[in-house]
Amino acid sequence: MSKSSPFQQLLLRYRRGAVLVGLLLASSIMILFNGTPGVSRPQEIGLAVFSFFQGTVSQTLHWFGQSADSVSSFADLKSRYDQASDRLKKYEGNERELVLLRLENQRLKSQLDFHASLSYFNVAAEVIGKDPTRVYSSMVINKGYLDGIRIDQPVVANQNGVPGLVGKIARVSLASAIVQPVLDANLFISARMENSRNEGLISGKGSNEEVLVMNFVKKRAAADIFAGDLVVTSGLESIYPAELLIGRVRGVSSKEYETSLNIEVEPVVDFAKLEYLYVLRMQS
Amino acid sequence: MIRAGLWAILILAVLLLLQTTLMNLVVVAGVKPDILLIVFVVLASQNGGLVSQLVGFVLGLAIDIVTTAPLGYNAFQFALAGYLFGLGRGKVYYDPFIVPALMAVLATVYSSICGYLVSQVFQLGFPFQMYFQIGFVVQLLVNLVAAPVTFFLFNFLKQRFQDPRRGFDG
Repeated sequence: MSKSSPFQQLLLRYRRGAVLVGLLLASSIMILFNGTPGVSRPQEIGLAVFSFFQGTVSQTLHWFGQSADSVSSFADLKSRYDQASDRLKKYEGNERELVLLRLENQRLKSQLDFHASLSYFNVAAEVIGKDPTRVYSSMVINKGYLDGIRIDQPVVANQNGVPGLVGKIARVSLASAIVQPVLDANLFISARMENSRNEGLISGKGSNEEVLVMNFVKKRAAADIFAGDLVVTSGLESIYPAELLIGRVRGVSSKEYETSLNIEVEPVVDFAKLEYLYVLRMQS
Repeated sequence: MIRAGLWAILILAVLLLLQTTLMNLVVVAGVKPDILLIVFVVLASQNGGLVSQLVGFVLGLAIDIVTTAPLGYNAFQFALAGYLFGLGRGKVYYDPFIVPALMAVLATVYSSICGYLVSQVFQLGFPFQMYFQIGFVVQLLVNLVAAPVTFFLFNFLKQRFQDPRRGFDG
């Protein structure tokens, strides 16, 4: 039996601690080198693989949801069947289907109108996954590099006829991408009040509170800003086009010792209901 | 030990997939139950520190890949969580309700504190409120309620699929 050195014996004795130190060190190095070009490559590959499974599960859930809806619709129709003749019931069933198709048609038409109304070339995408953690609020979409999606492209959505900024592309794989929403506390967007034209910097507060904060607006602008005022992108950055709707002012506050206002902004986009997004290809 | 680790990784990979898709349908006040974290701490307290910190590291890396989090951010947190919750091996005895709920509360508090500290140490720029806002309390309550249900389902599947000779945990 070979005799191990005192260092090896020490490592063996405290191997749990040694492994922990090694793992924490590896994690720390990865965090420190985050953003370095070589580091993001495994992330892109991993995302491509994972988003494939996400898309499959998402579609399966969608199918189950539709089946459940169909079952409940069927139960509703059944009570009607008891009261009317077979022939009438058949027509009622057809008519119901027609109404559903018409509603779906209207919904898709409004998305198509929005798609066509955008002055930038854009790519429509579907949300197939959301962040598993509470701190980050990113979303995975089913379009990626092959569809012309690139990092930093702005993402918008149309809800109830109101177009609004969702965020920007943070990471891209071949057939999927991650959207960093405006709710993210790490995303800063140059914005201005639509009426008074005062400029500021808008950012999120985290994933749970759907409230944004606009900072660096001069105190003297307080008299021009009211609850309900619209906030739009200023276009001063190269990423976002100007005049994209971000949200509405919810409240204005300021501390005596500060020179700027603290404006709470409610986003126009309801992030809990996002299904379809549009990625703007600014360079086109 | 290797068998237990591979089982844990497989279970957690499936749960990560469900956490990013199915759990989006179970949102309470903007927060979804963190079944991934709950099952991870349960597994950690059953498998012990050495396996769990390695499993945690792999799981954390997977989360970093599917989110906008910096690579290593979740790996750090889950590796440390694996070590800490693994210390409970042989000391934690699970009843159907109280202990799973308690573990979920501890894990949620740990997750926020550790997340905040990592953010501060590596200057990731996330403010204190982001980890300890009202959403934190909601997350705590949601996980508290979800833990016994998750634990019940986990045990049910474990008894159904485990190898009678070797066991689910290796």
